Amino acid sequence: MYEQPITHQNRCAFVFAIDCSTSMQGKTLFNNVVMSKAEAVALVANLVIDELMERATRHHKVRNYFDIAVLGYGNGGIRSLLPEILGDGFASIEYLAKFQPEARRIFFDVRRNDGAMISVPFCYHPWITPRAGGRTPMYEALLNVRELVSEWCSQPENRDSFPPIVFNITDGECNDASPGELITIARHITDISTNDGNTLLINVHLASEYSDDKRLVFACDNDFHTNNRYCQTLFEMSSLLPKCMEGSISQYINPGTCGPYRGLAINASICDMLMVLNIGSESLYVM
Amino acid sequence: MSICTISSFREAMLQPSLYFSTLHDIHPINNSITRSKHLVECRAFISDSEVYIYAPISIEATSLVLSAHGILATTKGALSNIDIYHNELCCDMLSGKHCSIFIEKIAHGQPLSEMIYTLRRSTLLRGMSELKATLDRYNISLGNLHPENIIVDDKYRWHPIRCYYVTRGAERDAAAFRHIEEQIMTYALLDDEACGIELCEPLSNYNANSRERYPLCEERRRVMVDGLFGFCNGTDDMVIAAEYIDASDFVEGRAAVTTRNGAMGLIDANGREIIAKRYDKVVYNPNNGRSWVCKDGLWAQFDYNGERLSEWQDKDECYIEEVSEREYEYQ
Repeated sequence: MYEQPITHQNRCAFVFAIDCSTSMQGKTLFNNVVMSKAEAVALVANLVIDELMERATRHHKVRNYFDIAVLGYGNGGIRSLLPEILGDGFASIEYLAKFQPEARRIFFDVRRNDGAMISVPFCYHPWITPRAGGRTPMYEALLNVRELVSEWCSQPENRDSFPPIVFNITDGECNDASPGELITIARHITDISTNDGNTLLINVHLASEYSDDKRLVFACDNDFHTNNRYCQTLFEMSSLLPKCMEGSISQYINPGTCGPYRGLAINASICDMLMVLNIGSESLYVM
Repeated sequence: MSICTISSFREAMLQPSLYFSTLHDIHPINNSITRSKHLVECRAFISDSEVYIYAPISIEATSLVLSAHGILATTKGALSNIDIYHNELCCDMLSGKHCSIFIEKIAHGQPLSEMIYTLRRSTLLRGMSELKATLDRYNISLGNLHPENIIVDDKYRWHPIRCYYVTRGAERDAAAFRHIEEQIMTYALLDDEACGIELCEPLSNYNANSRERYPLCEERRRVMVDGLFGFCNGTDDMVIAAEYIDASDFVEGRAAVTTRNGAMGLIDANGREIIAKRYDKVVYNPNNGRSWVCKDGLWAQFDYNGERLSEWQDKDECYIEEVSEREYEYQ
């Protein structure tokens, strides 16, 4: 299970559910650059899409390895954050490449090994633009995710594919459902499967301030304690990560721990979130 | 431990002085980025040495290379080693994290995947046998043996590259060696072919003065040996065997050639066949990179990489560009 190589015949689906509520206007520190959480999440999502584009490229041509959907939830309900022409659901990465926006450049401060701090330019493509307004209709967003994932898995050509990976990125509590309802809808999502395994749901909570003692990446399933109801809810919503990822996590991410792990990062900084994305896709063999 | 994104690696190769901590004399070749399952790579010069620069894109990559580094060190230079630079590359703009990079020196020469078409069987088999013996001596397998991953030097020795899958035990390469041998038997020049040059000796040992000399065009000079054309480089080392009854100079990386049975084709600067040498006529236009090709009285247009662009049709239906005599002396 969870071993199917990704090819143009066995594509993989990535769904990003992104909190676009008012609280995402809050500031976060992004490697010494202050920006809103909405900008930060958009930037991270854009970098991930760029990276998936790179990984799908062979001989200067983007091949159809991935289907991508990016849903924003906030003011105005649920909407795709990808260019309108791509529709509301999945866009194949090959099709998405045809609408690649003009690259933008952002400068980051980087401390080199010799201690010198230098400003380094980095180019990315703004596939999605930051949004932040309204309440947090996470439940409704997850209903949409369920529909998308279910439809994707029901297509015969995806039956043997690596299962879809859903990233739910939020900075606050949902306010359109109870914890029980959220856990139920999350289970509905993770019950949807291909022949290679069940859908993986990874929840990432975006914190305003980085704090090491609160930080948690990939909670141990047997050793997770919290008095925070919201954390408990996210924990129960998250997928158990497949055994094939456990070795890497216990060796490199959470040394001294052992699996099984939940696909949960709480109070994670942006950097942790990118790490989650890398790990989530690391064990896949992209042909 | 950090891993690199391909996007970061690409940016780093565009601006090495900003992204690398200590290596500031990196000059990428063509900015050509390729990747395997675990590593992203770029060919480059560092202080006049040609190298591959690798960065990890999977979590297992670093341990893979560390293991290879240890095993290769036991060969005491018989195989190239991979140098490790810890925390060298700024791989994550979002956190400022650095990852290790790995550098493997490349022997001067050409990939076996290209040389297999231009050298004799016996020469290639000798090189293969020497490499096998080296691997047996040190009891290791490369695990990545492929014509693209072997450089053939001017003494026809084989130098494996991308050695990061190397493991103890010499048996894992057996199938790969068999496959390469099959390719040699299929594509290499026959040993009894009268090429006019004894290819089993290093080509650089040949006396260039004994050949009829032509101008150097794009680092390739036509030479005629015993009535057949081949090409040498700027230092008079033969790089494309003399086996053509006619050949044009290289223009924009391509030359038209005619084999001894009168068939024409188009080759690149390494002698690789771009348009198969089986046509009646090839008219190459370096201005647009396209060629008009004639077969059994019908013509079709091919692109620079040898892909056919049009259906076969009568010459009257084709617009075959006028070519100047200078450009197409060969025609």
